[in-house]
Amino acid sequence: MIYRFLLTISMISGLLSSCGLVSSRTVDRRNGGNAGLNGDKEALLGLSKQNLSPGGLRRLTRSQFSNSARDILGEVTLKVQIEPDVPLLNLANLGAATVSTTPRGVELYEAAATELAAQIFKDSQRTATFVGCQVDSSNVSLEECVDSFIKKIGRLAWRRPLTVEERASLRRVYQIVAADMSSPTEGLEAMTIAVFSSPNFIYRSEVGQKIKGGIRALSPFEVAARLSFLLWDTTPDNALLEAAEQGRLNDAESIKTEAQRMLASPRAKDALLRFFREWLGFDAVATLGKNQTAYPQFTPSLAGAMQSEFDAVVSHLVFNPGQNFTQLLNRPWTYVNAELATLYGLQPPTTDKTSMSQVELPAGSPRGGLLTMAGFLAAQAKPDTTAPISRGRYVLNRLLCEIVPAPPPDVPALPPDPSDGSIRTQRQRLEVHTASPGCASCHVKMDATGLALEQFDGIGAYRDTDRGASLDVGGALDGQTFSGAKDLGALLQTKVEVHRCIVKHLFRHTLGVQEQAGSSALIDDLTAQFAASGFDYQSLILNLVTSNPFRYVGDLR
Amino acid sequence: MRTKSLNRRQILRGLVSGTAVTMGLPLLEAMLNVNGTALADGGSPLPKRFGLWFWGVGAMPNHWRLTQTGRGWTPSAGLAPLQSVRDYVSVISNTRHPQVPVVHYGGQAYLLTGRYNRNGSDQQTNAYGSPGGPSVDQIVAKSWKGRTPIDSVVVGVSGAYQGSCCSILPTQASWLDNNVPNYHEFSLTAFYNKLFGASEANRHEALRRRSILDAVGGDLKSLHRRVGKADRIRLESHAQSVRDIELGIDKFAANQCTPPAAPTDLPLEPTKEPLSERNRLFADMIAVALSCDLTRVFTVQFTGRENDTIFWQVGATQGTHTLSHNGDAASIAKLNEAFTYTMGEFAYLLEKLKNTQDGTSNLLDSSCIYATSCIGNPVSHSYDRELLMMIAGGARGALNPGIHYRAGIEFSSAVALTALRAVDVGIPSFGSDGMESTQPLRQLVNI
Repeated sequence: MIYRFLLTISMISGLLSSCGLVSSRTVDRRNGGNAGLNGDKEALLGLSKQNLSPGGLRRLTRSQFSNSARDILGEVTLKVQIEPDVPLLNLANLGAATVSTTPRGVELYEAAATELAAQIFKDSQRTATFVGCQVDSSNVSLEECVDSFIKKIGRLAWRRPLTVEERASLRRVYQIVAADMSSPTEGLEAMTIAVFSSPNFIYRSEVGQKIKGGIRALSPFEVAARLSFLLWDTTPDNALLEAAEQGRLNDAESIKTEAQRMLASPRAKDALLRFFREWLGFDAVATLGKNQTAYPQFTPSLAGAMQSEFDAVVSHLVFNPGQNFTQLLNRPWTYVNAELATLYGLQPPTTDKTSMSQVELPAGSPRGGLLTMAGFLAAQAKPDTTAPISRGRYVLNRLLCEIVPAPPPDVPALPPDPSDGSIRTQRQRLEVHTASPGCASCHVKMDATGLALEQFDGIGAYRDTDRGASLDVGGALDGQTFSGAKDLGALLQTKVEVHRCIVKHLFRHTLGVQEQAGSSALIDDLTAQFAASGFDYQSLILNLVTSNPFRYVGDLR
Repeated sequence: MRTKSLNRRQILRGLVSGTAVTMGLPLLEAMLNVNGTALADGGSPLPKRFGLWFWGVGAMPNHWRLTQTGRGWTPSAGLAPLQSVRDYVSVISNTRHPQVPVVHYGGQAYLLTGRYNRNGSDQQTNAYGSPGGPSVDQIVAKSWKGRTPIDSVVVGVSGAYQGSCCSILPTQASWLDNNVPNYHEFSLTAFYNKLFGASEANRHEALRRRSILDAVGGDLKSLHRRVGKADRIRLESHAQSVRDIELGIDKFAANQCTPPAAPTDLPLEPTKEPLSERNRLFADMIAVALSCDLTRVFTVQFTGRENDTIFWQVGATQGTHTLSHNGDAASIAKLNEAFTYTMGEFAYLLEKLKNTQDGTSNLLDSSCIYATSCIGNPVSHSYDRELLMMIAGGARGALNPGIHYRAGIEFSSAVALTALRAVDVGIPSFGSDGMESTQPLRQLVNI
C-alpha cells in the first residue's frame, strides 16, 4: 500500500523520486467503482499524462496465443505456426505492441483458428462438454444454447463481455453456416473460428476510456488481461474475469490480491521464466550448437543442463521467499547436474545424476553469479571461440540498460593469430579498439567487461590461459576496478544502474513500452522500493501492477 | 448495359489457400462482349458442347418413320415425345453403313467410331472384332482436352444387359480408342461426387470462410474506431490482408456451380429399373456440369447394345432384345412402347438443356447431340436404310436444326461427321470400308 501512495505523490510533484510524504487524500476509495471509469476525482489529480505510457493494442505473442487457446478450449495441438514474435530490446512482449501482421500472418491466424475449432467440433464428446448444451436441431432451445455459447466463448476469448453488435455478428456466422451445412455444430465451429481469427482475440486492447485530457483509464477487463498475460502468459481465468465483472480491478488493493493469487500458481513460474530467458538471453541455450573439434565436451544434454541451471536459479530467486534478486549476479551457490558439475569442476551430485540440485560453490571457485554461468558464456560466444565483445555488449545492454549503437559499416576484421605460429589473446586482438578514438568511445566499456570473462571459454569452462598465453582479466567500470567474472558480478550487484535496469526490463515487458522521460519517476520509485524490500522480485512485480501506469494510459499510440 | 467485365481466365484461376485451381464456372453475361457473341477477354469463341445419346436395339421403322422431309417435321408415334423440342432436333433417315458380321456390336462400332476391326489381336476380338478407334464423344473430348476440369463424362442409365454371346464384349457406347472401352458410370452418387464432390465441399468451405472473414472484417472496423493512429495503420494492413483473402475466395466461389441436390443411388434391380428417375437425375447433373463448364462433353447410354432392359413401366415383362427376337405382334407393340418411352427420356434431357440459360442463350443452342442406336429394325436387325439417327441442338449456330433429312447416297458416317464438324472438330473424314464421309450433310449445317 505504502508504495502506491509514494508513487502517487511522486506523480503529482513530477519529481524523480518520492520524498516520503503520504497524503491521506490518496487513500483509495474506489472499491467497486464503475468499470473503466473511476469515480475518485482526487486520485485522478495525481495522474499526469506525462507519467503514463501510451495505450494501444498488443498482439498476442506465440506463446500467449497457444496458451490462451489451450486455456479456453482444453488440450489442443496447434500444428499451424503462427507468425513469429518480433522482439524489441530482446522482449517479445515489447515488440508485440508495435509489430504489424503480414498478409501471410493473417492467413496463418485463420488457419490456426480453423485447426483449433476442428479439434473441438469434430469430436462430439468434446463439443457437448465445451458447448454445455445440446447442439442439434432436436433441441427446442437451440437458439438459447447458441446465444449462451456465444456469450461464453466470447467472454473467454475476447477477455470481456461482448457487445450486442458483436454477438449478432457471431450469430450471423453461426446461422449462415448452420443453414448451409444443415448442421448447428458446423455453425458453431465456424463461429468459433471467427472468434479466434478476430482482432479482438489476436490483439489485446489497452485502450481504456478517456477520463480527462490525455489520461485514459483501462477497463477492469483490460487490467485483468494485463495481469494475466504478465503473470501467466495467457488469457485471464474465470476468477479474474469475475473480478473484472464485479468491478474489483479498479483499485490497487484488489489488483494486488489477484496478483498474489496468480503469483502463487505454478503458471506464474512458467510465464516469468519465459520473460527472464528472453531478457537474459537464455531463450535458445538448450538448442545451442558448438564446433565439436573445438569443444568435444559440448553435448545437447549439457546445453540442456545449462538451460536448467538458469531456470532453477531464477525460480529460486523469484519464488522462494526472502531471496535477494540481485544474487542473480553474485552468489556462492548454483544448480547443477552431474554433467554440468563436471564442466564446473565440482563434485558431481551422488544421488540423482540428471536432475538439478543446489550446490554450494567453494570459496576459491571462480564461479558465482550470472556472468559465470555456462549458459550465458556459451550463448555469448562463437561456435569455436569466445566472443568478448558480445559478452561485453550483453552486460551493457541487458544489465546496465545502456544502448550500444551498431558498429560503423566499414570496420575491418580483428587481426587473426600471427603467421609465425604464436597466438594473440582476445585482449591483444581488441587493442586496436583502444588505439582508435572512434572505436574506443563504445568499446572501452564493452571490451573491459567482455575481456574480464575471458577466463571462461566458448562453452563456459574455466581456463587460466588462452592456448598457453596468460590472461589478464582485470578492468574498470565507471572508475571502479574489478578482476575476473565473479568480481565483476559482485560489482554489478551493487550498482544502482543495474537495479534500475532490472526494473526497466519488467516495466518494458509489462507495459509494452520503452521507458520515456516521464517514466523515470515510476522507475526511480520502483527501484527505491525494490532496494527497500531487499530486492524482493515479487514485491517489485506487485509494486508495478499496483502503480497508476499499470491501469491508466496516456494518449493512444 | 453492363459495365463490369470479368476476365474468365482470371476467375478460372481463383486462388484457394494459395493453390491455383481449375474451376467450373457458369457463363456469366459479365464475361461476354457487348453483343454476347464471344468472351470479353479478347473475343475467344464461346464454348460449344457435345453429347452422345445412345439407346440399344434400334426402333421399328414403321413406328418412328416421318412422312415429310425438311423443316417442321410432324412427329410420328415413336418420336411424339420430341414434339416440344422438335425445332432443335434433326432426324436423319435412310443412311447405311458397311456390312458387319456381329450386327449390334459391329453396328455400334460403325455408328459411333466409324470403324470396325474385323481381325482382332486376341481371341475375343478375333471372334467378334472391335471398334476401331475412339467414339465420337471421345474424339471431341480429345480435341478439347484441358479446356474444362473434366474432359468428358459418360453415364449409363439402364444396367440390364443380355447374358448371351455378347456379354463377354464390352457393353460401352463410348470408346477411348481402338479396343479401349470407356466405362460408363452407373452410380448416381459416384457421378455426383465426380462432378460436384470437390466443388460442393469447396463451396461450403468458401461460404464458411467468407462469413467468418466478414465477421473478422467487422471486428477490425470497430476496433479501428477505438485506437490511435499507429494502431490504425496496423489494423488497416491487417484488414487489407483480410480483404485480399476474401477476394481470392470470391473469385473462386461466387461464380461456381450451384450443384443440384445430391442424389441417392437408385437400385438397378433388373425387373424394376427406375429408368426415368435415373435418367432425369443424370440429365439434371449433366445440365449443371455443362452450365458451369465443368465439362463440355457427355455421353448417355440410356440402354445398352442388345440390352434386355425390361420396360416394366409400359407393361413389358421381357427384355427388349428378347422381345425383338420374339417378333410377334404383342412383342413388337411392347418394343414400340418402350421406344416411345425412350424418346420421352431423350426429350427430357433436351428440354433440360433448353431450359438452362447459357450466356444470352440456352444450353441446347450451344450443344450438338448425336443420338443413335446400334441397329435399325429390331426384328430384322437390319441396318441398311432403316437406321434412326438424330442430331439435336444448335451448336451456336453451326447447325441448322429441326429438319428431317432423308439420305440419298449418304452413309451413316456423314451424320457423325456433321456432328463433329458442327463443334469445330477438324477431322478430315469419318467412316471406313469404302463408306467414309468427308463432307457434312449440307442441309443440316450453316458451315
